[in-house]
Amino acid sequence: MVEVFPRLLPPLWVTIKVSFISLFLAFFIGLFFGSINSVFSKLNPINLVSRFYVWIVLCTPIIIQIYAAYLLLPKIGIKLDVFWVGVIALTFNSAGYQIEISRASITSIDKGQYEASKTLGMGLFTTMIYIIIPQAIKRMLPATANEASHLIKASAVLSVIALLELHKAAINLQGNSFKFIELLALQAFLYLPIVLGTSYIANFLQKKNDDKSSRIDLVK
Amino acid sequence: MPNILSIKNLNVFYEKFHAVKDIDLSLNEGEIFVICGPSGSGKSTLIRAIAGLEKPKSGEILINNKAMNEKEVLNKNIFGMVFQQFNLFPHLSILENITLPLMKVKKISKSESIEIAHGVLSKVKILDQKDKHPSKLSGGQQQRCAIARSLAMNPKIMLFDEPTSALDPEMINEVLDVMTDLASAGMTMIIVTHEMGFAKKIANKIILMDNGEIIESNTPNNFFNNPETERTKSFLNQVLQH
Ligand SMILES: Nc1ncnc2c1ncn2[C@@H]1O[C@H](COP(=O)(O)OP(=O)(O)OP(=O)(O)O)[C@@H](O)[C@H]1O
Ligand SMILES: [Mg+2]
Repeated sequence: MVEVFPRLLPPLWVTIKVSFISLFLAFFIGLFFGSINSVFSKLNPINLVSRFYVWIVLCTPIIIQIYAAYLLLPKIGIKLDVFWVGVIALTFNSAGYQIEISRASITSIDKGQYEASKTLGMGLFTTMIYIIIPQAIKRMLPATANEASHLIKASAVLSVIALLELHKAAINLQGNSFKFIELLALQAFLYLPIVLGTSYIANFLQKKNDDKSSRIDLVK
Repeated sequence: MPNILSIKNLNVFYEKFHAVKDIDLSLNEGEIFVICGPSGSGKSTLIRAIAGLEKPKSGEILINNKAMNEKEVLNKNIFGMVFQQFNLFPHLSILENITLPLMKVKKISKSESIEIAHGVLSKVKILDQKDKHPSKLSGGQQQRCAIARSLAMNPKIMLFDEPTSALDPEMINEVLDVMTDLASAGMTMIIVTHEMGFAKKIANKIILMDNGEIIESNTPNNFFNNPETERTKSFLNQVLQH
């Protein structure tokens, strides 16, 4: 086992990269549509489209979303490295959840904040950027950390499109006659620190933000 | 003193519900106007419509004899509004609560905004709290900060919607004192309040609202000692009982 460990480190790095790039992109997509969702009426065309989008993401298995990205992107003339296909698939998936997280957090901000801001002469855009979103982000942190841990683990499914991330690399090694159970254990051992690390960072940010530090336990 | 605010035939609806009915009122510069009335009588709706937070169905709001819609009223910072729940920005320090709108709305430089903030915070006597976040302050201090934040925008008229109703009794006076100072300094104010003793002392005009209408409009002296309507008498009996 010791000798395969180094061979799993580059794929582990691919897992980290693909997950965090996707989370990061999805975060901003989530914030953008989440804001529009909570500020404008349900019948606004952007809201109708984003509701439909969220519905698709939430109601289909991630493996289908990944195959869809892999098979459909080339059909519309977008030929990308499999890593970026993975980023697009995971971003597509995570954005669905993160729109919901943003929307719920923004909606939870007291309407008195908008009113005070309005009577001080601040427009809606300024209000969102400087008053509402900073408060909403704090509230989003626990759910976003949760989503991060889900996505890191879900990234294993990218093995189906032959992206050489952690899980795919382990499958390949298994083909090279390493023992199945031991490889499973090793993979689990490698996912663990990323997920715990994410939890730790989220806790740290939460504490930094808030003295009534509510702990975020991803692993209970 | 010249007329600063006239309201003509103001009507506000929530869907089909007629919350403020055909209100007329007129205010001269430096006057203190107190609105009282039972719960649900439309006091908040009226003051919020004046502030530009509710869109009236009909009627006119004239500032210095010039008609203005809600947009103009908000953009020109005609009114400073103080809410029952303070509505400070919890993620910003006391100082930043005041400097942010100055920088974003009035496009005043940071250093000048800080100077203005120091000025208004010392007026309300919480300059020493400037670096704390609102949650670290007492209710009375938070409300004084909210008053300072509105003052900093240099409004023509200050509006107060039950500014002491969310406060513990021992903190009410520190807020009323600040309001009294403002009145002495010549600020024009419209105040919704249940503090009848305060109203009697500070008001130039006092009105009683009920069911969205003005039942009585009077001088404070007559209002309390010699009310015109039975409705006012029974209202005063109720609020002055305890
Ligand atoms: N957003 C709203 N939607 C529908 N009806 C409302 C809304 N806000 C207030 N109302 C109704 O309008 C009427 C007047 O309400 P308003 O808040 O102006 O009363 P108020 O005099 O300020 O009462 P209070 O002393 O309890 O603050 C009430 O009957 C209330 O139920
Ligand atoms: Mg009210």
